[in-house]
Amino acid sequence: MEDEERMEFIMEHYRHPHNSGVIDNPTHEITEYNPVCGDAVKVSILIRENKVQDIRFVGRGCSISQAAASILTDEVKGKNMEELKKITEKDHLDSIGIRLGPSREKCALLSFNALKKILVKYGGE
Amino acid sequence: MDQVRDHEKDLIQYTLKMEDQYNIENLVSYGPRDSDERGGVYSFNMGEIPPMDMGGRLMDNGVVIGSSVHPHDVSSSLDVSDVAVRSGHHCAMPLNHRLGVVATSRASYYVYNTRKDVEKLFEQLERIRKVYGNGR
Repeated sequence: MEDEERMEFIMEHYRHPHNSGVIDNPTHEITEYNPVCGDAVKVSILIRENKVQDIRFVGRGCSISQAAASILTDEVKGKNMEELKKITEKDHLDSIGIRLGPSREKCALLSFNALKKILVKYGGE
Repeated sequence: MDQVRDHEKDLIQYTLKMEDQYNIENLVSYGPRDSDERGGVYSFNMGEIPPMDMGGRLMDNGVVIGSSVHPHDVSSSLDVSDVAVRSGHHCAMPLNHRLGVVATSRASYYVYNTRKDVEKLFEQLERIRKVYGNGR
């Protein structure tokens, strides 16, 4: 039953995604694409004063990949870079909260991987 | 083997009949309608989602939802109801792109499948359409 409630939470994010769109003048932008399933997300982010001022995404794909991006963007908005670096794969999967098989886990991690790549870029500056 | 072929043809004919009967909104299937010209597989989509272009850009500016259900969501939802189908490129990515779709779902019939299985497939597709169509 808990899974069913959680699934409704996922569907709600899928139908009405939070933070959808693109930022006009992002400090970083990355498109993550999974060639196996065709799922894609483009994440744009505005980092100022060591903090995520804004983050948005556009994407195409299954409910899990798109809902995961919605949940992740909610979570990181307003966080500082130290907090951002501490978010692990497990934290992200826990915040999605349903049991996923190995192939669906990749869907859920698409936006997370985009965020990690942004952090690498940020660290390199 | 003739009996196997006849059985496959019967299931495909029955599938196409069920497809007409259920007339599920946005359901698209691929391949000829003549069972003599096709094998025992049924590829379909619940609304067609175009692939991302190869330049790595998204062709539109938002999350695709509405009436289309991604093939992976279709197969996951069918799986929950004990209907096993495959979804994805089926090792034929160029064909999927030629068809202009991100992927397809596919039911592959064989000797152990029955007309009951076909009926169950369409019952469940109708349920999925409702779930993703927000109960519509």
